[in-house]
Amino acid sequence: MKISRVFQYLISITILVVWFIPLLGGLMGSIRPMSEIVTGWWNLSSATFTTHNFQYTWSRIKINFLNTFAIAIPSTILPILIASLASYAFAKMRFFGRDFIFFSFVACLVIPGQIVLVPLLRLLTNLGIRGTFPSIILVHTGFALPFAIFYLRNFFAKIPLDILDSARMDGASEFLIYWKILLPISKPALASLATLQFLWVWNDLLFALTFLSPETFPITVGILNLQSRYAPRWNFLCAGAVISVIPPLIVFLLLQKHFVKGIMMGAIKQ
Amino acid sequence: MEQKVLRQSGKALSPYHFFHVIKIRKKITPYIFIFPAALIFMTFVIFPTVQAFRISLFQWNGISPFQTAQYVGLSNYQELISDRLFINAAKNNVIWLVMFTLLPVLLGLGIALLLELDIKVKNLLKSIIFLPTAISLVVAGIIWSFVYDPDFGVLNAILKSMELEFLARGWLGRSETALFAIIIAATWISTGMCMVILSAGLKGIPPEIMEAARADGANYWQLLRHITLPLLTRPLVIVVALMIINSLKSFDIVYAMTRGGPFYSTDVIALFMYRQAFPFLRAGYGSAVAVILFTIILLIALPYIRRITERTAEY
Repeated sequence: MKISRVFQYLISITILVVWFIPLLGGLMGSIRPMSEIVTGWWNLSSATFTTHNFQYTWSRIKINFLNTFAIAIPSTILPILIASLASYAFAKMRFFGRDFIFFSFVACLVIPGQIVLVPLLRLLTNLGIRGTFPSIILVHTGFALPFAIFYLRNFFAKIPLDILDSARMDGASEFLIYWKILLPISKPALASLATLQFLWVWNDLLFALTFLSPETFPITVGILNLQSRYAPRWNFLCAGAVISVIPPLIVFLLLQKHFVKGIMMGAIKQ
Repeated sequence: MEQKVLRQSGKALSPYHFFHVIKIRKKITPYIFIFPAALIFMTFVIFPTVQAFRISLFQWNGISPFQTAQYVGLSNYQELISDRLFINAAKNNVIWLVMFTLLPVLLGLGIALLLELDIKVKNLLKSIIFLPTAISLVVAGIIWSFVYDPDFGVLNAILKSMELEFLARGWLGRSETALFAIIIAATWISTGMCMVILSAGLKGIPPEIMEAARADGANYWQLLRHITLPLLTRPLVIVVALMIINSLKSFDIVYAMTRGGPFYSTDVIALFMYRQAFPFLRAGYGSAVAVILFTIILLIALPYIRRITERTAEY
């Protein structure tokens, strides 16, 4: 029993260290000058703290950082709004073709982004919005819908009908019921979805690289532009990495419970 | 309800008219509710997906009007089968698939089991394994490239300090190690997801079953093999399906770490597709790759989708 106990701790601590070292390396690289990184970031014999890496990197990727907010916030709100509207119909109304339409959405859960790249680029060019924020917001919205509808429809289905019926008796319109009753009582589900979707959009590279232009590129493309062809400047790359993980990390830490719940519902994304 | 209609319309209506208005309203309301979702979905997902199938039958540069594209039948697909770089990317993707399914799932399972035991560092372990889930694959690619750096990387430094200097090398610069180095980085980011799903599965096992088996004298490994793992089949199937699909779609982390190099040793299908369609301006050829990728993913995901729709139908 004792030997197995030692063994358990040995494994736990090994895993902890292996998982922690890359994070620590990134953090140390971002706050130490390159002249010290070349002797090893773990070497603390002459450690200097500097903000120069952040200053330089921020001046390079500030625009991308702000762009990412301009993309990620609407790309989180819009799909949740229109998915919740549709899910209300799927969960609480009877109409011809309901189940067929619902399952058609859900079946598209696994369509890989790659398949739409070429046709969508052409469509967005024809619409005259290629390279703009609305273009990628619409694409992210489209791809968020299957999971959002699947998730919200199942959540709404569990809400007892009598709550909605009493409002109907009072003469409230369906939209009013949706807006004033359904959405407020669905806050936990909406928070789960919003967390998943925000992280997903914040971390996206493929769509951004394909549909956006240098003025609208988000942070993921911004950091990759810090890579140089020759010797990598780890101090700047690490600072860029740290800057780019701050907003998603805050969201993640604040809403971790909701995030886990979202994953549990069968998260297909990552 | 009737009174409301009356008020809205502002004039008296025959009882029959009322009934009619309400009925039509009731009938079209659901369609109004699903309309925005359907419109965006049709325009930005369904329509382009169908288009991709058509474009894959053409020779087209993706820039000039599609009318100038030349219909070539299935020749893009024929060319693919004999394209050595495509075969190479597909082969690498198979390695990805196997390793990227085994490593995070086994590690995630191991850690989930570890968390069931009474260990003091449990919460710290759980948090730190799950933390990378919030990080983008691009950032993971960068901090792991730093780990692998031949001169300033921590990995080679550790090897040197352990007197294993002969193992030290430029991990991403050599074709025999680059692919595995990237898969390790991808494992680092994905294990947390597997751990959380499997951990929830473990929590769902009724303790009475375990206690009964323990009372019958079963040891830990017997419990694991005959009770825990069989009861964990459903979450295991989910994480395996997730990892397989993710490995087929892998693009970001390879793009961030090596762009497919050195000598195409880390090339994967999604990256091959991107390169053909955009820098090389072979939109038709790239679409053929995308269609193949789509078909494989669909075949693998079909049971998964059927399962979640079944679960939905229970309501």
